[in-house]
Amino acid sequence: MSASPTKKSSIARRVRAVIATLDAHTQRALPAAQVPRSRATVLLFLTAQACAFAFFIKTVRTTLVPLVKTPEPPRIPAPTSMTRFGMTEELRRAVFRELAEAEFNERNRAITQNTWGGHAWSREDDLGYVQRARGREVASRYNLSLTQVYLVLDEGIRSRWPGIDGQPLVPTTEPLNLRTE
Amino acid sequence: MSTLIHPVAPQRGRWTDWLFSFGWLRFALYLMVLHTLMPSLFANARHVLDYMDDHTFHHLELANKITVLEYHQLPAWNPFFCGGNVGLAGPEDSFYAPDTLLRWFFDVGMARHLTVLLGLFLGAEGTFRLARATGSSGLASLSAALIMLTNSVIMPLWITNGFFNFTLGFGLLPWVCWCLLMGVDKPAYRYLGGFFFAWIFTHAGTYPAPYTLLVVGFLTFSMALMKRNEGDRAWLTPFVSATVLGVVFVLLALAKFVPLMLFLKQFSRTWAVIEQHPAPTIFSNFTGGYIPILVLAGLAPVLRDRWGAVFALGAGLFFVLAMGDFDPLSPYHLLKQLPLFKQLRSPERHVILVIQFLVLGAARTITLVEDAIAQSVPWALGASSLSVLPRSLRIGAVALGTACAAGIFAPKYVQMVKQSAPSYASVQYSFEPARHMQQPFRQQRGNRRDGHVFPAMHAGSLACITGIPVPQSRLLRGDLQAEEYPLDPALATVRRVYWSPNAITLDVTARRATRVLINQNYHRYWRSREGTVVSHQGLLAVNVPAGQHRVTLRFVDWPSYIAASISLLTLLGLLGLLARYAWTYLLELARPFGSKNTSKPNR
Repeated sequence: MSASPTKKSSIARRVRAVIATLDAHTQRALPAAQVPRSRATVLLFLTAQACAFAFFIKTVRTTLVPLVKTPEPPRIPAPTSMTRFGMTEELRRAVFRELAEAEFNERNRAITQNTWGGHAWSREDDLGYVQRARGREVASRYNLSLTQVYLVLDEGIRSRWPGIDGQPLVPTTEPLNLRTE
Repeated sequence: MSTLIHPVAPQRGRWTDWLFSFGWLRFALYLMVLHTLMPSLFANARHVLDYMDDHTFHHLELANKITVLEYHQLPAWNPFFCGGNVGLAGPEDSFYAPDTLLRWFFDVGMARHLTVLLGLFLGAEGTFRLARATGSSGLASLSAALIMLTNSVIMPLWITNGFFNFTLGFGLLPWVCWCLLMGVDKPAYRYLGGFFFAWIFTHAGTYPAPYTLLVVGFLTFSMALMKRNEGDRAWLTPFVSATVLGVVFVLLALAKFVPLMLFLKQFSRTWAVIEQHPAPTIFSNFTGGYIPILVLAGLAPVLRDRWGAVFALGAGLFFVLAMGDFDPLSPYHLLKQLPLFKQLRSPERHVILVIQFLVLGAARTITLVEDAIAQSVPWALGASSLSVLPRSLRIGAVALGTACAAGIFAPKYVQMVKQSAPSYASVQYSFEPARHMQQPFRQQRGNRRDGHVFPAMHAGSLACITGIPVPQSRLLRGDLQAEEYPLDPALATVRRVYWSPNAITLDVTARRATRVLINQNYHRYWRSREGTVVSHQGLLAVNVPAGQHRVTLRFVDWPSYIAASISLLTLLGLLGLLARYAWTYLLELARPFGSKNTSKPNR
């Protein structure tokens, strides 16, 4: 079925209007007020925007949506008669012993090697580095999360469990004192 | 009256620019490029980076989120770090930044992934708009945007270290510049520019904000110089734009500015190292993969392009700044004498501005080539200019210019984008996320290198780090059975009734007047109606009289609250303006449908 001559001329008029708009962009000197506008150009503009938006949404669905749908890691289990933080006391004590050993060795190293010229906060910071490394290693070996490892360390300090020298770990930390160089 | 279909920039020289003016298509392109080049950003959404600073920022953001969403308080005090420290006033705090909403709606780890993407995304789009505003073509501007999106000059290092305040801050910088330029003619952009600047400042903008100030100053003077012969005091208009932008910035950023300044007045950072980098070291950042950019940016001023010259000058200026304190008369040394700049370090961070100016300069040269090809058509046909050619030829000539420029430059740019991929390989979210747990708040000895773990388990980490050292009491402990306790247990008993980050309620029964200690650092803004708040060797304490008392301690930061109210009012005013502009735009869009007279194209 062919379109009527009136309809054809109407379409042609609209196409000409769109081309005229493009041409207006080509002529630098044309003042803004004289740039041709028509219903056709507005519809073209809106259709193009809608298509662009649909494409953007499609891209978001394939890139960002999987990112924001990553499931939350399980929470630390509530305590039971046999476990705390999802671990038996035996396991917690074993984890604590390993952390305490690393701490004992690091504090000794700092003294024997006179690290940081005796700068106390920097030594404490080194201890944090060692603790973090050992914590990750222990967590991996016992199939625990790092959060559980720190909870055990806290329990051991709070309950004054003995370290490898038989003494509880120091419950305080050196106040913040940044190096200036 | 504005044009209906218009490029981002005010000039309307090439119809092909219209093809690049569809924002959604550009955004999709940015996402696709990032997804292809940096897949690690889109994986392990809740994981953190390996580097400790990422853990510290994560900690601060999670502490803020808990304070707001669980306790419905402004995070003025952060009890989760260092045994209690200022929250909003801290230079690292980003609570007032608009991207805080991301952290409220998503997991903090996830939100931090999104913040990186947002920063890179904004950097690219801001560069596109800035390039368009200086007259570069759509093609050239998109090329500049893609280089800023994937630039490996310093961005991978910042992302690997968790310095997302830099990623986002320097991503917003071109937006401020764009608004400054557009604001010369259109007042609305000045307000918008103030908003972006305030965003930079409030998102821990200790570095990006001063750098933005420098760039705004540089561009303002450059524009004034360019306008010096335009008459009617045209040279003043950039200063008007910059001033209004600055005023809006100050009003919006006041919420952060006031507490931060009060904090910095109390404590300051000493950085004794004299930092300097030889020119070849700085230059080596650009000689690897960015030779085409260097060449193109260098050509623009040679071709007597004014913006090209400004960008080359800007790149040179920030290059010298990046070299650091190499001489008492070096720009960096002089800069360090200024109040806002004296606490800055790591001058090499200025290279981000060097690449920013270089890509803009390169866009100028591409545009000149594109236009030259289009204008060669009337020359070849023996016509005096494009405007005398028939309409179809005019459209074809512009299309030819764009197509040829794309053919010449696109392969180089694609190659540069691809070359940046290995630099981002170090960005690996390999560290497992913290697991949450509910328990009564208490301080742990902690570890600042795993800071992200502690707020999740509702605990504080006494071991900590802050950019500016704050006083920490030696009496803080990680082994207390109760976080609030009497100085002399024989004289009083203390029971916690309610705990929140900014308010603690205790039931105290004292046989004689005594002192109650709280296992947090003292700060002068802690108040209590019952008893007197004092510092007990740096520990928060309250002297209570004999008898039974319900003591409520509150952290009340009046200067911060007043400043926040002013900022909030300013924001509401801006939102009102935005609604007005949006309404006007919609009316403009609907006009052809409402009146027959305006629907016909003028001829």
